[in-house]
Amino acid sequence: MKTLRSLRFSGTYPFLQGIMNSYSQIFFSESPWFAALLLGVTLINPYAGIAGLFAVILSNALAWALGYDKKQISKGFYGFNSLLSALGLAVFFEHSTGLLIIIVLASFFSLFVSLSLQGILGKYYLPFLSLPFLATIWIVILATRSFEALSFNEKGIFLLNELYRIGGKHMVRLYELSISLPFPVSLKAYFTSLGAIFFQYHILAGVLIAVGLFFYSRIALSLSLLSFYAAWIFYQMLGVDMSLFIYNYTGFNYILTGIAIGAYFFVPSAASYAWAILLTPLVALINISCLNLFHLPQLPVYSLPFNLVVLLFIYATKLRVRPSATLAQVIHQYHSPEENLYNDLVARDRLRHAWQIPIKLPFWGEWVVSQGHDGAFTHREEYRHAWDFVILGQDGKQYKNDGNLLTDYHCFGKTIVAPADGIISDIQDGIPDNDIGVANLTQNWGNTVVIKHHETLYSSLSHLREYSIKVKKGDYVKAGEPLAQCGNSGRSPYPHLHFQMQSTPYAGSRTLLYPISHYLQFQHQTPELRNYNIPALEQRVSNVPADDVLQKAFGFTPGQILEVDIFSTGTTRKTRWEVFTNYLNQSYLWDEESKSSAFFINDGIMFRFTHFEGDKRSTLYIVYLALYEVLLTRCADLAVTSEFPLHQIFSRVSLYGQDLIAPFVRLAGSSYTINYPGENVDLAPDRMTLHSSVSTRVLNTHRMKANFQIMISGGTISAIHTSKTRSHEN
Amino acid sequence: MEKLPFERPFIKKVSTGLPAKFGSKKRIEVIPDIEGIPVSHLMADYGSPLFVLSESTIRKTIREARSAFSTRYPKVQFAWSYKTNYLDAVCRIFHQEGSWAEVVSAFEYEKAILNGVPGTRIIFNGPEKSPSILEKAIMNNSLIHIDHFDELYALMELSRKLERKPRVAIRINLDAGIYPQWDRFGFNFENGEAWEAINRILLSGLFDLAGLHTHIGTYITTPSAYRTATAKLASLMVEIQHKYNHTIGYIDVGGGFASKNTLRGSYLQGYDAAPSFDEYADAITSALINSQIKPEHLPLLILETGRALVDDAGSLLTTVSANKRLSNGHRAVIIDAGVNLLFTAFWYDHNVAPTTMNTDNTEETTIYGPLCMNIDVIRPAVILPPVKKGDHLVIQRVGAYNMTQWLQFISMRPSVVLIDINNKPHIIRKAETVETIRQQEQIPEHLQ
Repeated sequence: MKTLRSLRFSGTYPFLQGIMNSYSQIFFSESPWFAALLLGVTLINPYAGIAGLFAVILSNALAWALGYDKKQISKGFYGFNSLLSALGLAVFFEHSTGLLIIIVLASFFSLFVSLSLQGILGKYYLPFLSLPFLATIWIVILATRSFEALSFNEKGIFLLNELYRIGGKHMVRLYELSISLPFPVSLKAYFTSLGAIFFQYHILAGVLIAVGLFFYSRIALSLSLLSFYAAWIFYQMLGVDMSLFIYNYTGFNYILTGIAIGAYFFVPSAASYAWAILLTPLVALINISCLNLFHLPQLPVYSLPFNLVVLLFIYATKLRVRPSATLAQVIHQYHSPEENLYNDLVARDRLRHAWQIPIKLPFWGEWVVSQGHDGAFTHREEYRHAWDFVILGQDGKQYKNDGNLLTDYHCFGKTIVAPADGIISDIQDGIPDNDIGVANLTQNWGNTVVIKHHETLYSSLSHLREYSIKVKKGDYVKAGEPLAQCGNSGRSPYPHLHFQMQSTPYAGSRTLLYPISHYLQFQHQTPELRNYNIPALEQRVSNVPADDVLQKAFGFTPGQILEVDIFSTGTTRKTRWEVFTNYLNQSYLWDEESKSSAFFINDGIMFRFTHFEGDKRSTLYIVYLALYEVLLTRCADLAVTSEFPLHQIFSRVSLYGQDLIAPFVRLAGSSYTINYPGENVDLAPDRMTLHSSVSTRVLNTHRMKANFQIMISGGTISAIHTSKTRSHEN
Repeated sequence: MEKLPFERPFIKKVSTGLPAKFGSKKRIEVIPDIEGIPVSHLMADYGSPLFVLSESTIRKTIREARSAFSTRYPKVQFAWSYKTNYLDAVCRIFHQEGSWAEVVSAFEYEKAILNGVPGTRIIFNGPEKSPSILEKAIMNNSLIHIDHFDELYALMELSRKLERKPRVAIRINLDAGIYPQWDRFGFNFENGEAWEAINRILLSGLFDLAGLHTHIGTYITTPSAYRTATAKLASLMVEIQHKYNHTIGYIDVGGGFASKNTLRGSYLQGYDAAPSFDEYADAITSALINSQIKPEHLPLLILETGRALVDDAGSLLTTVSANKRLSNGHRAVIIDAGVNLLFTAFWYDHNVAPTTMNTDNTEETTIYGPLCMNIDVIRPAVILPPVKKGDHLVIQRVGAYNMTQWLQFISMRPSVVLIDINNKPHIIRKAETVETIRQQEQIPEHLQ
């Protein structure tokens, strides 16, 4: 049986995807039905439409045959410029064999320009947009002046005849209705500009595209309108002849710039909206100057202003030394402004450091920060990102008895362990431990171990006890392996551990701001989990005790098959998921039955789903919800909470209202909680149960709650019980 | 004018000059209240004698012990030794603090289950385990510590019958360099019996050998003995790994930490002689860390500490019944609590303190219990101020073993009160009445 998945890998499916995406990619979308709508719009002019489709198939097939990346082909990157070129040519020239030859050549040319620009601009992480189309169509237009066989098409001039030919009376009536609509001039110009992207200079095409754009993205549609009107106002303010705006059909430059800057290449936000509007006058300026300049060789300007401004702006913002969170470039492109936004809102805190080397606390048990970052004493200037740790007794003191002896101090002699895997890169030993109150200012760091975790990531542990270091330079140590004992050597008047991250391999290097991956903070009755955080002064912290059973159950390896029973009120669903890793080294669970995938990361302490793609009625979606964020710990009385990207929890339609204002205000929200069982935890239990719940919030009303009971037995996740409760509370 | 309190007359040798080798005059500690509640109020409300336990002292002690170990070793688990004090309220405090249960009989096992401890968190020790309770322990997946070969055979039979793999550990006795060597429990390390047992367990394939257990003795004042014992278990663990490629999940070093009570005949006061939790923890954890166990295989360290965790939290409040002068002129006091309630009086010199002190004069006194038995001596000699009938005395550090080993003998057992962390008293065991005792009895028809 040939399933969709086998198609996925056989080639037919990506090839079809590539054809469709060549249409939707013009609006930065990868939505198949939006593509179908756009294909339909191009077919309003059937000859042009067919020519466009032909060019798309041709250039994609050529790219395929020449062995280019199938993933890129499937995304439509190599088709949309050929499409635009062919549409343009077919609209302007009378159909003939000569035109066919030109279209074939144009498709090839546009493909090669696309590939070359991808190579050149790709190095700077820049898109090539519709530059290949511009190069192609200008070259062809310039050349065709010498071709006798090609003559200008007159069909476009007699639009009604054309429409009648396609759809008879109804089509004509629909068209008449569309122009008779009581739209203001500006709105009509907006729709015409949208249609002009596909060389359809009429409102009907524009309205259809606008409808498609609405369903593709509310944010994109709102930005297309905003930037269009910004340009409109600019034209009026500068007293430009409005007919230049309306009948030049270059209004789409503003629309596309608005979408590209405001919604697509940047995470939609107030800043991105502001920039989209601010850049519009610049696009207009370039547009008008290009019109005057291109007047000489009699070339249309097309999308040149859009291309120039978008590329300039993206490149310029990439060079920022301090990239701001308010105007953030999209790092992982989901091809939907809403998804980009909702994912970013959650990932900003949740996954920002998820791909870094996890650094743990370098000790066992609960210690207290006696001097934090930017401390009052020595953690200043270049050394400001460091911690001093001590142990406090139940009376809140660092020592017992009178505190006059080193051994009175709770931390003295306690084992210091490696914060992460690494190689010992520097060691200082043999510096005697000071008496209490005395600081050795000549050997500032005292006995020190420096560990290399990565080319530019080192950790340094100082003031260790004399001759307590158990490792030597060049040793490979695992995270949690004992290194030495806490002592009082160097500039240390009382026993404590100095811990810092740095990017160079010496004792005494300047510090590096780097968070502790996961730790427990004991502020109140129950411990609280902190992820990728910096323990602050006087905080009592400990490592998260890892749990072998959970680590085993969640240690998914590629090729592993997971069979989990999903129980919900009265029904049982058996599942079969496979673990895969893709070419980006992202791991995901694949559900063959629903063609869904759930991407995850696991740093040994925490298992997290990062993204879900596919059918929300599937069992995989249930597991995505139930196991969204699982701490692999043997901790008691701990609740881990998190938040979902909105589009993963709410249905697309129910978010339409929220989408429009999402960059500014979020009225909807969601929360995820997982609880760890019992007062204490067993030694390698063969059964474990975790409880998680998901709730949604609209304004202050909690809408729906799903509870999950996750059963772990025999080293794997064996069953998930789900129950839904509806509650209305404020 | 208020009447001054009466002080009975006595004769005392006046010592002048420099202090003798026995030191200067002993200062007497006065204990007017327990956790802020006056002793007289407690006794008025709950009767005399009265056992009082302090919840905050229990919690403080277990936290101190836990901190001593958990800052030295990554995986530490305490298991509350039920026999030390199995009053449900006490057990539940320890379970709340994260302790598992360590039981040594079917009775204690049932008690732990009733206290809500999951079977998987019960360590089942002891030389006597009936087939029925073993069966229950196997089904609950409890940690069964095998004491002798006959138990091993019984477990093999049960394992086959139930088709379950019991989770077991073996108890090992070893020479830790101290006297007496407790060799009556478990399998001996030095003579090879331990290996014999390990071989049988692992070759049979019937068991999940989860841990190794030793318990070197009680009231051990030399932490180095624990170092030796732990090092021996660690080496055994490495050898098992080497021979069977089997990783032992935990090492249980048992209990035996000394409390701050003074052993009878000890020259030093218990307060000075008993090592701190830090000293024990340092010995035990450094033996593990410095062993040949690979860091990724470091076992869970289980501690069955009982006495050192609860002794300090308990006090026995008593009332003076009478004063006496013995034949040799020695002063004696009779109180209303005897050795039937204070079993530990046989081996400890319990600190006995008055609740008030109106004088600087003290006298060596013998404290007798109320039993009509010659052995009923609480303290043969203790320095006390003159007390009279109706005065209260507080006997300190009685939290361990007394509330489990006490006897209903001659009189009934009194109430036990727990003072919670907000200094509010709660009865956790009601005083026995005649009816309590009688309801267990049956009278044959011909005697009715």
